[in-house]
Amino acid sequence: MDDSLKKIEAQLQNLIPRAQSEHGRAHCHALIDDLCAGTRRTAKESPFGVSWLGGAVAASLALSVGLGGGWYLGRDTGGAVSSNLRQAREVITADFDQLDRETWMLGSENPGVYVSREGEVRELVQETEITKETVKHRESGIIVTVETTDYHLIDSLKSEF
Amino acid sequence: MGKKQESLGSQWKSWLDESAPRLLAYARSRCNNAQEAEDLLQDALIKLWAYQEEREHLPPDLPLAFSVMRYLGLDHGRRKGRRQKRDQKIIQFQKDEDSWLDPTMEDSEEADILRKEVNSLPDKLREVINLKIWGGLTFAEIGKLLSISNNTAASRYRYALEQLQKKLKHLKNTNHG
Repeated sequence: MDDSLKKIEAQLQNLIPRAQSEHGRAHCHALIDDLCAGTRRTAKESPFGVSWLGGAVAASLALSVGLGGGWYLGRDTGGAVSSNLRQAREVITADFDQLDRETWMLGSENPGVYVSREGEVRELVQETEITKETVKHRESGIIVTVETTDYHLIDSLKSEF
Repeated sequence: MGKKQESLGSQWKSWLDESAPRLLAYARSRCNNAQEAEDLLQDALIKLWAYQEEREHLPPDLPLAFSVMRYLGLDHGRRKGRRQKRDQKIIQFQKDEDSWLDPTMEDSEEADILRKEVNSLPDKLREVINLKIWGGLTFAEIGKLLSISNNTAASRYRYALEQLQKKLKHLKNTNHG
């Protein structure tokens, strides 16, 4: 790196990022106190930690309960499904322990470049989001790991590099 | 609260006081405004606390903190609609009063120009500059964080410096006739 770039680098190092606001700092310190005292739940400890998995199983259970209870086409006695759904969710969150949940992103290495009608050079990048969730059924001890992949298409102005 | 918790709390607060400006500067490159960046930092604290469970909840290494901030920033951007966010960000970064680099710390003309020009760098370049200059990460750490090679990280850094150099030269020439 030549001297002129080193000079720019040194100038950048002299620019100081803004400090945290007093309000933000106080809030973070209170948050740390809560975390240390164990009075704030993290995502890992959340009773609804099974999130989408719990929701999906709860919905299927609720449907079974609903159908078993006479709620099917033409024979809706009214109001049973929503209460059954609540019960099913309680069963799911009570019966499963969330062991682990990880989410990470994978970037696409081959962005597609195109010129828009406005004459802008834009690029399309596909980002891949992987979610891996492991839950354990308390009674049977069965451990299930579910991995899902979501694709997100990002359309943005092309950078100069 | 027991002595152990108090000691842990003090360690986290010291870590936060030291790391917050760096993390906030990085968060600002992914958010629309200072408030959102501070919210992101608070979300990151909760996640980092959970991640550090295996290490007796000790404060994390800075690369891990940046990694969590990056993930949360991506998630945040996705939720708000990234395209809209980027367009707004370009406009908002032009406002001095909302700059994430403190304008009160220096008042030279070059510093003022540099501050503005860093904000207008393309995302990929600004991110590397941010992580290297204010985050204090090595190219190896940046490469790992962004899932790119060390050489690509170093090239982006150099290219960003060259871009800034060009703009600085051009603007100085224009300003001085």
